[in-house]
Amino acid sequence: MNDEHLNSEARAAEQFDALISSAQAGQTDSESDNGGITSFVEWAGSIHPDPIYAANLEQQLRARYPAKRRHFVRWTLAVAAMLAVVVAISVLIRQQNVTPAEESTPQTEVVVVQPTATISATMLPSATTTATSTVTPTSSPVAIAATTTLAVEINATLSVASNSTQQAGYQMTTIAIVSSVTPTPSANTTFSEWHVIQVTDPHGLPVLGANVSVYGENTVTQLVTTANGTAYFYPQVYGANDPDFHVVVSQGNAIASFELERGVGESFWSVTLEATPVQPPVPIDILFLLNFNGNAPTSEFAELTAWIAAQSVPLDARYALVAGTQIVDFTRDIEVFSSALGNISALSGSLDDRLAAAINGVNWREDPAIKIVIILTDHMEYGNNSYALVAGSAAREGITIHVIAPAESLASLGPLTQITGGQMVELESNEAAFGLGKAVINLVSEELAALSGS
Amino acid sequence: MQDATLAQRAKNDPAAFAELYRRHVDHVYRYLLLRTGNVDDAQDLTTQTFIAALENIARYRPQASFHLWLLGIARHKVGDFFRKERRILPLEMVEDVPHPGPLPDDMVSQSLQVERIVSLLQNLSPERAEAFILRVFGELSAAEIAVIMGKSEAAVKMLVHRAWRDLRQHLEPIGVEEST
Repeated sequence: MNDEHLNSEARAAEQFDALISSAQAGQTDSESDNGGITSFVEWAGSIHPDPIYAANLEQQLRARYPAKRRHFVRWTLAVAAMLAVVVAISVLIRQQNVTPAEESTPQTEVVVVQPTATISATMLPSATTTATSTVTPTSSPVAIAATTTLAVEINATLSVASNSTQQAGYQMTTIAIVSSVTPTPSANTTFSEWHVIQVTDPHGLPVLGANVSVYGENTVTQLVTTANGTAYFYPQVYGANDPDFHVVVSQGNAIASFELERGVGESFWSVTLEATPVQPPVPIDILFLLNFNGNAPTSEFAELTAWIAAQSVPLDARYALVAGTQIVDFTRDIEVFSSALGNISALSGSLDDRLAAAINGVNWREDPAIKIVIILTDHMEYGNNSYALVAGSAAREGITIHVIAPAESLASLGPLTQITGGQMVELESNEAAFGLGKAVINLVSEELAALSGS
Repeated sequence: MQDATLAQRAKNDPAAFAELYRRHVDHVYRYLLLRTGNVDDAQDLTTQTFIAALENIARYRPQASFHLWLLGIARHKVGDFFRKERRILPLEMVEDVPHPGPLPDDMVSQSLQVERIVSLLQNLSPERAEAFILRVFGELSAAEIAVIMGKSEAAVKMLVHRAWRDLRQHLEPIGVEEST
């Protein structure tokens, strides 16, 4: 497709968009109509919800207000109580900071980098959390260690005064957050509460691969955003009982934070991050987890690779495979992968164990990338791993798990897709050969659609 | 009164939220109806969307379009719906399912048209269908869809244009007449 053709299509798209706008505004002009869009838009505008349903819903929404106010009052009291505790602890800690060193291990190490510099640092509420920094130039040691002392100084502005002229002139350039804690999700999972954290850049585009660190009293979990810039946080998956959370979102030098209030059901949070979008070729890791009795889907894989090769946005695709006890690590070589796929046998096994191998047993990209597990399964066998635990591990790596399975298996696999923001696709066995390839392509396509600006 | 002002008041004022609801319920419902193809599911998801909006109204930022924010919630809801309710494969089979005979009731007639268009939309690529539904049924602008889909505005216009080009070949037989 040459540039002239693309320009022509772009002009047509501009005109078409203007036509829809005028049709929606009731300014119909049949002379310039594009094949009946006006009548179609009019038809679309004629669709209304059932008036009885609409009226009932309005009443239902109004009725929710009193309960909400009571809820608000409860939370207000709870927050006030918490603030009182925090203030009390802060006072105690400040008193501790002036006690002799032998009575209290130094709580904070701050090497000053610039006279009267003010560093807006988000100190994290974890005994094992350390914030480090780099400086330009790097000849002077600089470190900020956040320990339990600073645990209560969430979001505080840390004013740093110089204690040495030798160290003057250096500017803190980044604040990286490192946690030695690797929280383990709880196996006793209920999903009565979840938070959708959407990270976008200043232009509104989703940020892939942003680190989303959630802190309560301790580190709760660290998640990574997927192609649509979203991280799903299920507090109960991680056994978090904190009354609220502090969330730090970062990518490279960009960092933002907010307070996340607990709630019931679904809550939406949006964060704008001064992040750099992923540049083409778009990195994408696709792992197939095969867990069924039958032939390997070689033709469907060929269908997928042909589709990927035909995309206008260049993709840097890698493929991996977990099938039975066999693991093929990520490779860009389609022939190598196809050969491995054609030679697999004994696909069946316990799915949870295979999935644990898929998340932890191959080399996923560490840089921001679209990371997808596509599970093709036709039955369930239970092994030693909890699905919720494994899904929690996937969410920490920014891996989205999609499941293509028969109806009887899907119910058990819900947590996998819920926790990672994936999709469940029901596979009807008689039609598997007919629709499987398209289903896989659709799943990959939707991931790319979320990210691509083309 | 503008949506943003109403949304600010809606934090404590049921009447303000009710006004927002009345302004936007049609668009949300149309969008969800075309995504699900089913009146019951569309009603259920419309309810969920507005309840979520009410519970999250304090988090709405006036700098953003309320309509866009609401459709964003609806989009998440429909995503959850497909995860929980499961999609049926293969989608190609949908077109071959015989429809019941026409009934005199207007609503039923409209439902049948919606069903047919949903089945036709399923032949489009997912992103073309999504862009088209948001543009025509959600009545979002191309710029707003660009934000919600994470694409450029030009790309959205192209997607909608191509979706219509693919779709209109099938429209006349279902009774949505082309104007001349």
